[in-house]
Amino acid sequence: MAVACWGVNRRHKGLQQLSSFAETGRTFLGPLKASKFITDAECQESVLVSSTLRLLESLDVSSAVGQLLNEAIFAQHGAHGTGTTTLLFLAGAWSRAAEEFLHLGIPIPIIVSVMSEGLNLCIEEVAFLQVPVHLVFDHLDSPRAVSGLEAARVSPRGVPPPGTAVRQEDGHLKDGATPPSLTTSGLPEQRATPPEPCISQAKVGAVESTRPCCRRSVLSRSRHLGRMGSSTCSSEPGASQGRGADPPGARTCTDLAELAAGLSHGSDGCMALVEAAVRLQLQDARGPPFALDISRLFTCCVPGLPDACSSVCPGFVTLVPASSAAAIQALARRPARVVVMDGDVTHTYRHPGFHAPGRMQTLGGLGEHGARPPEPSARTSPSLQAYRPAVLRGLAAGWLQYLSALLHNAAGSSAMEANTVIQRHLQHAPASGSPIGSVLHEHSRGCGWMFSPRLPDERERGSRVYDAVTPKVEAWRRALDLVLLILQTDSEIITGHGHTQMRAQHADGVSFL
Amino acid sequence: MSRLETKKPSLCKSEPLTSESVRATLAVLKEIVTSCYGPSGRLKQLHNGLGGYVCTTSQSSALLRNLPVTHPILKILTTSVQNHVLCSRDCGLFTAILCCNLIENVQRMDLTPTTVIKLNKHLLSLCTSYLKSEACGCRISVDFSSTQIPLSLTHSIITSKPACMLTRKEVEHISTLILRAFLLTIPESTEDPVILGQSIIVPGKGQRVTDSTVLPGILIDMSEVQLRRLLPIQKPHALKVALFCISLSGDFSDTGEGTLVVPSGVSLENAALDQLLNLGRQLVSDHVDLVLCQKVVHPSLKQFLSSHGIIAIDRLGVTLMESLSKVTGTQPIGSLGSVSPSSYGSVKEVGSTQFGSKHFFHLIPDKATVCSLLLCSRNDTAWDELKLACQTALHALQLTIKEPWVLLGGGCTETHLAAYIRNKTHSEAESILKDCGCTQAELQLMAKAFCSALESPACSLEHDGGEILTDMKYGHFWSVQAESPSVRNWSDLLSRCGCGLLSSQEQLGWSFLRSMHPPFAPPTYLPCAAVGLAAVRSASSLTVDCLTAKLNGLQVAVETANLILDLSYIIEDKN
Repeated sequence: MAVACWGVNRRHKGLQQLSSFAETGRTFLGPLKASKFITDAECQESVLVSSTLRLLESLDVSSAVGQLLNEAIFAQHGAHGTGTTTLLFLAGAWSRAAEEFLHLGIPIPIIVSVMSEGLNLCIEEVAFLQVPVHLVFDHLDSPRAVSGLEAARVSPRGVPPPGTAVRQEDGHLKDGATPPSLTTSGLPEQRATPPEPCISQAKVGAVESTRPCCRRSVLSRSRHLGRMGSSTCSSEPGASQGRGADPPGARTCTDLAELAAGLSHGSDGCMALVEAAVRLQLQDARGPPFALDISRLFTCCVPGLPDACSSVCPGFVTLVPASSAAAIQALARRPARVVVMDGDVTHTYRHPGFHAPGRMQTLGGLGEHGARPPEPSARTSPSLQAYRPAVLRGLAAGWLQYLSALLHNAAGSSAMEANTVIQRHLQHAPASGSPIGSVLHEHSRGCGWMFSPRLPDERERGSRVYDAVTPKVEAWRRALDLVLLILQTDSEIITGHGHTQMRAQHADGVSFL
Repeated sequence: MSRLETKKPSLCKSEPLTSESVRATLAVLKEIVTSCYGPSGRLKQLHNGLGGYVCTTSQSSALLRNLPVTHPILKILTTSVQNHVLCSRDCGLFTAILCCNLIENVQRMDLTPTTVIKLNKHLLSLCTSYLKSEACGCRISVDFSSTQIPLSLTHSIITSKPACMLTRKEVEHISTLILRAFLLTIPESTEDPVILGQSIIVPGKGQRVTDSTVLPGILIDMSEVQLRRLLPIQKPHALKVALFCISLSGDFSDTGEGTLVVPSGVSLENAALDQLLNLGRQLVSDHVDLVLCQKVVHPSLKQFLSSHGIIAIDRLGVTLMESLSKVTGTQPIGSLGSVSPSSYGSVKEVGSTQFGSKHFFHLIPDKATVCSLLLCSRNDTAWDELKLACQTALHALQLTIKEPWVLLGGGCTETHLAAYIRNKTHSEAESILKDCGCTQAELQLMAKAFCSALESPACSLEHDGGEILTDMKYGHFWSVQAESPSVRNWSDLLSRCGCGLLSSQEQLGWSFLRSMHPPFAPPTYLPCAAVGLAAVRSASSLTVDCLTAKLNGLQVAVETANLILDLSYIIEDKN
């Protein structure tokens, strides 16, 4: 057994590993993603990735920190289907901040206490920026008649990879923090092949269209679905704790098209399928309040067809072998009684849990033949107050870096230009007397310019941009949890045979038991 | 042709503790346990270095379970601590730290093992009899008619595990839930002996910690579709329950190496199914409402039962069986033969519960003392740690209801006890010398080593270079941040003692913990006014430890140290 101590030479190895992992995902922030080619030097294979999830799949994350990062990212994706890049970026920014605090000699319990307190303050403040969207559905026109198996044919204008599909997601809108539930009416096939998002929010006209058809290629729109769902809960208790349902000053969003545009973050048209799904569900709604039920949204992935063929239709669609097509056609437009089978109906099938006997011999008249049936609270002290401002500044710096990277990626601004823009806003907001009001005002004027490659001069024409509350906040929390967990870890203990490699790698700070 | 080899001679090492490598490994182990201790303890990542599961923890149970120690001396130490944790759950790190330090302190002195062991035993008995006596100045009696002290106990345990990643609000929520869950396991009747029920921890991963909750009865995880098929059922009376621990899947017993000979025309499968359906008919005629099975129920039997309005739930797993048996008031049925009507139990009602995205079949007992603690956390690592912490806290409450006292936490008991022993060995030296047959010098050396070891867990609470002080009246633990200017007026820098009972404004004199100061007699009573004041404040204002667990830990630590110090030879079988 080997014990590797992280605290040697006043540098926290765990935090350093985390920030270098996070650095790799920087370009995925925002609507305009710079894709990455990951080449395997040994087997000459390369993969094009433009999402955090796919990046982590391709990277060697066998180290303990890598494993924890993986766990956090996949948990966030599993619960919300969105926010993984935010999580990765902030985990990196805050791990650098935490390391800086260590250099300044700030005690770990104080860093932990103030950073968690700081994030809580921010989350409370965010409640004032929430935009109620529950009126969206009330303002929808009477649903367009879509009947029978006639599909509402809509397709996004962007050119995402083939095999586009809308991912099924958790349906419990009252809480966006719930993990996906595929149980409601999910069939086994649905469960067997969870769609794996690889290129979310395609860069318009970028290299993806030339990408060879890959059977795992699915465009995830889950973030938008999740957003819609979670946004509706902004007026629920807990989200806006004790405050009024509609935060003062927040403009209610009542138009579905505007909401869809706001959530598409510059990828024009990518919300069209969701809009169609909303209209379809509204048709069957039993009266207000209406909410998009994602548990009743299933995805059928058809690889090989262009994205323009993507559509939303009522009912359940699944791929069947060509040989059954004729039989199914015969049933078309006829009422059918449906039996859902759990298991199969072959002669040799036995229910799960049935154990066949080992050896059995059947005694016959003439011949004999064998038959074989078939798992902190920190001390408050004077120094806490002394270090508090520095730690809070460091926490805030994480978001500044986030905004800066976003501006850089989206508008192509240099780090300095981005910082100037952000600083101007930061000075302007408190000076106006009401920072919240100032932010809401800016938002109502439309800050879509930040996310479009156009020049900032055209900001007047920009559209509003929205983000879902719960997935976003949860991504922040998970990022900070990860950083604080690693910050408080001082060593790794390698058990089993893995330590023989350790012996070769480092001599510094490693002891053996 | 078989080849015979001569037996290799066993390897015998004398005076194992004097070996440099043994000292070094003991030092590493000491470093690991010391750095994990307390609310600001550092976490450890345990993994196999090959991409396997990463366990992030600071709790002794998880740490020692994964530490593959090889040296016999370390094995004795870790096994003793693990055994202590197995029966007491709490105070594992305390035990390990105390034991390591006692061994190390004794090694520095030139005393014979016989003298050391004799004195250690005597000093230990002084400690235990003091902690058990009415005159103990570091224990508080627990009155379960008030939630204050029990809540402080759960609060102290949860906050001492930083890998749970809880905010202050979340700690309060979880502490309250643990106490509520514990209270639900106490039977209403006052029969003697009182048998406590069980709290089952049900995972609610991915949910917010504050979504955690406690429900009476048992929750069985089930898909929504399955649940809809079973419910609702309307019965005006309590439901009759049959609980099976055998498989009802229609299997035949394992023939092992033998061969089963079956006459032609006989279908074993059909015969087995017939037997199952006979059982089904009996269940129907006995008016059973609910059939619960640990293993699989044959689909045909399920269908038969369902057609007669009987709910059948299978694959419950072995872990739920004991609780199910308690809730329904029945012994699990273990044979397919005739089922005696006396083996049936009952539940008050059944229903469904939704928690986040999960759906549960909910068995609500009439009076039984079983409840479910739905525990939530954002990530798996924190959940694993939180589950362990909750189990520890629940167990500590159980121990405390048996021996209704808690010890002052936050290092105060250790420093207070050390002050008591120091004074005792000074003032009553004569009688100890007579009892142990040693010299005055030997006693003073050993008392110093013992007291310093006692203080070591308290010193281990500080991980950020802070200074540790003790007051010269009560002998409590006080800490002050690093880089504090050296001033005479400590009362301005200190706020409250480790356990939270004393305030620095109480005209006390302080001294650095391990500095030389004359022995003083700490008062053999609790500052009652302070206890009263602390009770008025919140649960977080008082840090307390489970007396039973700490007492046991103290004994295990000293006895294990004695055992290790007494080792003269290690004989290793090389074959």
